[in-house]
Amino acid sequence: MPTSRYKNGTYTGPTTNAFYGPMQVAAVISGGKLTAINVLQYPQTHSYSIMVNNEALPYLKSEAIQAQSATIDSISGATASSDAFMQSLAAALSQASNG
Amino acid sequence: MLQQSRMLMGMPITVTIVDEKATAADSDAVFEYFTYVDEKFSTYKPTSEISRINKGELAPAEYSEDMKTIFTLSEETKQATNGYFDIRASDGSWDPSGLVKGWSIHNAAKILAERGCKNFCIEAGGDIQVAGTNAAGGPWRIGLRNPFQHQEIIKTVAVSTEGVATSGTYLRGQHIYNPHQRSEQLTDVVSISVIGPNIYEADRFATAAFAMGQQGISFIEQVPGFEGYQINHNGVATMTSGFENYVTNYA
Repeated sequence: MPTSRYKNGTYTGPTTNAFYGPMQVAAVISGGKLTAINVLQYPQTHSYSIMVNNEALPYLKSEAIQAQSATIDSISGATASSDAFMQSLAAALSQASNG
Repeated sequence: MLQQSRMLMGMPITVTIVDEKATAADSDAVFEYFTYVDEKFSTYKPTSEISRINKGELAPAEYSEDMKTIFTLSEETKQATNGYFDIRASDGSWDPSGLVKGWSIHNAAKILAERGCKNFCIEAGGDIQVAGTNAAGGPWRIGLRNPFQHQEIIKTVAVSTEGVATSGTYLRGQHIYNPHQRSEQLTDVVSISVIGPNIYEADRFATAAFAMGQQGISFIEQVPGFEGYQINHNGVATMTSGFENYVTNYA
């Protein structure tokens, strides 16, 4: 896309429903480009205290994640938030557009 | 094979039924149920029962049976997760949506089973309940989405009775804050996927484990019957000791 597409400034998108809670982002345009996305509201389960017994734990295996191609039936991911995120960002960018 | 998708509760919901006798009436029954749940539990709808409770318009004795169930399950989950799962927001209002999602998918699966369906998959906003076999007659193959590249999957697990849920952030951590503790940035864990006996169990433990940060995967390791796959901001994943039993590698 041409770099002149967006006007410089900070554009706040609408609050969208991520079911777990509201999602809202602001798009920061500088030099005609999208340079930052600030998350203003993000659904998050509240935390209070934690007591996990680490003493009896076996060693847990780690690995670097790697993309794979496989035939799948469905996908698990944190999409509820991401869809709301994209809605809010798209609206913010449309405000920044030169038209 | 019957497959239908709708946008409900602010997220895409897909119902796949393999049984030959399945009709649109079966998937419609599921979508009607999610519509009912949204009307009752959405904190965005001023007329929902939960909104009326938060406005002080309903006394506990006036709560519907489903609402009483959710409050009971929420208290039980709070106990089971060392207080990490709590539907009470910082302003004192109730927001049970973190529990309602998995609970409603679980109930939708019961609706299909009662209608005689045996082989199906219900996916709502990335959380999944399966039953029986897929269209090829094998276990359901669930891809785990790459939290950094949404077009990619980074793991495939095979399930036939279980629920699979993922809790996570969309972006890398530095811009994301816990709205209830603004000073605390969520920088370490990007997502955690949990396989449990059903989606209600998987979802509530995934939500609580994610809120625990790095210790989430250790928590899942300690809960019998659950497996998990936790991804850090640097692209390194940590898995529970039985997770690989679910992993399938063939294309």
